[in-house]
Amino acid sequence: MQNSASPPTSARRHSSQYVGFELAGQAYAFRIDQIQEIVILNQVTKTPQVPEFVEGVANLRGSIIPIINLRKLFRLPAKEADGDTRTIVVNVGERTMGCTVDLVSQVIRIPEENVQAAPETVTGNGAMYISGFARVDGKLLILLDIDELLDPRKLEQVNQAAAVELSRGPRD
Amino acid sequence: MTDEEFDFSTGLPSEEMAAYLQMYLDETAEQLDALVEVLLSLEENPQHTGQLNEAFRLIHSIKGSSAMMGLDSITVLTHHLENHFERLRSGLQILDRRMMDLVLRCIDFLRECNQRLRSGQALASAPELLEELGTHVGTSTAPGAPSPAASPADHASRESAPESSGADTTEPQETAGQAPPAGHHLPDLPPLEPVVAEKFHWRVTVTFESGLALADVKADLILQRLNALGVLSDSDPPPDQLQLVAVTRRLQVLLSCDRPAVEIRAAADVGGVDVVELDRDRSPLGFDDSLPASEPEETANAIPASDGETAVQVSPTAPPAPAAPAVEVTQPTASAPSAVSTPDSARGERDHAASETKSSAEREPPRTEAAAEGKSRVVETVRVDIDRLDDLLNLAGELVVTNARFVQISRQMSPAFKKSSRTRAVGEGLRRLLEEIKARVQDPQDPRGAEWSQQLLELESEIETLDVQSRLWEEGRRCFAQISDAVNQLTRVSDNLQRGVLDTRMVPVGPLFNRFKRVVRDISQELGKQVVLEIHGEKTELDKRMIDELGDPLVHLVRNAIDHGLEAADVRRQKGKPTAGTLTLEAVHRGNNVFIRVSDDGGGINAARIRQKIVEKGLATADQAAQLSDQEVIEYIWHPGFSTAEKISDISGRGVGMDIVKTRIAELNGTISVETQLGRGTTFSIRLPLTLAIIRCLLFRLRHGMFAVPIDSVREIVSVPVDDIVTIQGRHTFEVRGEFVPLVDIDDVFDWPGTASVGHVEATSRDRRRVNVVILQATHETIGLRVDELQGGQDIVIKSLAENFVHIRGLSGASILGDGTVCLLLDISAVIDLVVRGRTAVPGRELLATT
Repeated sequence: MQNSASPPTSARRHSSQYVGFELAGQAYAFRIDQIQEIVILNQVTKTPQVPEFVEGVANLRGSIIPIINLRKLFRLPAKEADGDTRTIVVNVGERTMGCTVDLVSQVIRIPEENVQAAPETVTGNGAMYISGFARVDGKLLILLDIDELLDPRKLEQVNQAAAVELSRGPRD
Repeated sequence: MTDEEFDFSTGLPSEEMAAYLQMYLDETAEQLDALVEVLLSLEENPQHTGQLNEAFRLIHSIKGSSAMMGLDSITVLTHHLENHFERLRSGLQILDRRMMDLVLRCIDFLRECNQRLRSGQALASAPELLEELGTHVGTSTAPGAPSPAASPADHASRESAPESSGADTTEPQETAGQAPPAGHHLPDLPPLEPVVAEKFHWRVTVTFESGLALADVKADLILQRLNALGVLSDSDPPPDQLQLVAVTRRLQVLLSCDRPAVEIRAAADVGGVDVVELDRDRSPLGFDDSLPASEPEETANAIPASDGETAVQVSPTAPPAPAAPAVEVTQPTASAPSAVSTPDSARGERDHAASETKSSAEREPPRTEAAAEGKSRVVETVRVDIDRLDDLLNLAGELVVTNARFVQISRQMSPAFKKSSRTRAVGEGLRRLLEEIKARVQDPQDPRGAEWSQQLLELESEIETLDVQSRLWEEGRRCFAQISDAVNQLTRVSDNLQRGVLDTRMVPVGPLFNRFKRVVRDISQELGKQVVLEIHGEKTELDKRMIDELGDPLVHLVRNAIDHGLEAADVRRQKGKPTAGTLTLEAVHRGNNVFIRVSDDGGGINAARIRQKIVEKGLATADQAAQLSDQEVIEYIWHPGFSTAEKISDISGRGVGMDIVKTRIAELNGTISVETQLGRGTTFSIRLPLTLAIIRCLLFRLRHGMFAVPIDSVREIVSVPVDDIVTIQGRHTFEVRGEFVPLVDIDDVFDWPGTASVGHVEATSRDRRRVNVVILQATHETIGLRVDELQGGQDIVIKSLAENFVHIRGLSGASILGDGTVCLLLDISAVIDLVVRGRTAVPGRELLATT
């Protein structure tokens, strides 16, 4: 890690690992500790009576997990799955869930001092799922809180908040 | 009694005991259940000695194990309870309503303790219960009887309890060499030694270990030690014939002394002694035939020893102070050993006593009353963590799925391998042709011979290659045949394994039903209604998980039945019904299903009132409601947000509506239906699959993917000519043998995300001349579901959707098919509900709440 782009070694104790991914050109990241694995899913069975951002359910080695389309959850324009599409399998409380993203970029270690807490203008609008921002290699990274984002009871709220965010226009 | 006197807000049991905690919890849970049952039967017959003894035994046993676990607060409480039951069974106290309630509350507290222990919380104390237990002694003591068990004695024995019970619990482990199983816990320690000095006559029976050397010396030693405690009136064998002990292994002494039983026991318990039996003699007269040496009830606590021969430890026959006066009154206190029988007759008597002891020890439960009830409490069992069984079942399920995949593959391969013999025939044909050509071209007159020989050689080698391939193919065929056999074998093994695992999980519904005795008692008292609970079919077995899940819905139904179903006594009397209402819990096993019925003989469901409610709640307009049949109206009780509870009482109307009951049952892949007759009563029938996990289903493909329905819900499968589909009141309908059945498309049932256009379906189905329709039935309603392609029946392993996501109304789960894809399992009654009564008033209400 010493030769990485990250700052001094002293910061290592106060840094966290994230998994970076992209949605419609924007970089996001989840903290690594709640991520179970990253898979390529071929077969997703559609489920009825669910909002559009729920792709359906899939078989993950004998367990049935729901698949959330993050693009749709954030109300971003839809995109067909391609070779880069990945499903990040995460643990949300007792549940195991999957969410599809455009591509998974890398595992990044971000020192805590590089993380800015999300401003109240963002969280105040219900976007509690954004835990902060970080700038890595000059790119803005949105750090997401898995529990706030994917808890089934909060999904709808996230979806609503995303609509508000979208109507406010681009961030920054 | 102050709190600090017994500070049992102690934390968790010590580290080394944690391993035994699980065992303790399981054991005591069973004992508490049994205790409740005993108490309820005592409520009808408070003087029943057998049941009082049983209650005492259970309490004592819990006390013993809690002491062993170091759970002081439980030990103290049970000790007090034990005191009471000691008094109850000796007739010094009467089990009145107040006492009964107190004991039940104690049981609740003990259950809560178990709950806390299970979840790793510290134990609470129950000072108020202890206080009540303490005060209750004084108030309910039978008049005239002195109460030597007042606080000093009480106190003393309390202090000695943990210590002595500790010794108590270790004893059998030494003798029997293993931990005592549930139900045979320990014989009684003498818990209630009176401090007051009173003289008693004791019959001390000492049994020596077999093959003990110098038994006569030991016997002599015992006589001396006992002599130091009081007056030895007689012994058998007599002091001068102690050598007989070597043969009989038994010494019996009549002792009159004022020392506590513990001391006597300690004096008699020297090295080489197997069992010391203390018996406070009713009569000090000696070994008289006219007196039973020990009554069966008094030997009830004998533990069957591991080898059935030794280690029969018989408890002292409860010699506490309270019992004393009663005995003293009837028996003259003659301490003189007047009528001592001859050794021979004494031996006869002793043998008789011994056999009686033995037989009562073998009988379990030993009391005839209990035995007559036909409840065998002793079954050889292994306690297994249910999670392990779940894992095992999951694995068995995976195996079944994998096996299905093998079966599928081998079925696909089979036609290819059947054709294989052709290659060989082709090879042979070619070779024949080759020989013919050779014969012709090798004609020396023909100049072309040399020209073709090269090609012929090549052809020959090709044919050879083909032969080799053909042989390999044959080999492959043989292997395939073997694989086929192996797959068949695997199918058989995996089916048996699955069945075995499922059987392992099956438990009788009896304990679940019996819990309702208490529930019914509480509710009926609270509401001031008289209810007789009848239980049928308690031996019917169901999956353990299912039993666990059924508790809440059943409680709800039972509460409902008593609260709303059964009328008040005066109303019943007016109607000419017996004043006590009857509530019946019944379980029957039929085919692949278990039916559980909760019925009452109450007033029935008033359709008119429900019709009114439907309108009030805006579930339908007055006109619509008026058009519904009574049965259709009654089905509305399952509607979310519908509750007929007139007023929110403590009992019903806790926000748990009938729709929740229905949902819970649906989650178990079961259905629930109601039948009611005004003025006659209501019956709720729950139909459940035998097991949670694996269900025989019909699979079919729809536009959205594969679906399954439990085969039990499928009435029939028909192919309907498109032209025969008629539209009645805007709904597609078709006719099957004179019956009109609504035809529905899956899109009539569900909203699918991101898919619009119902037109698409119309277009595809119009292309065909006939449509496949699966006719589905749930209790009173029938629909025909249009399917694209039928896949046949299959056992599928049900997985929950809610485990990782949410419950979706209309689906009872999902399953993984042989090819690894997920298929959805339809919940037929919910599907019908969605079709008939429209989709939920608030779309997706139950899902992903928007607020």
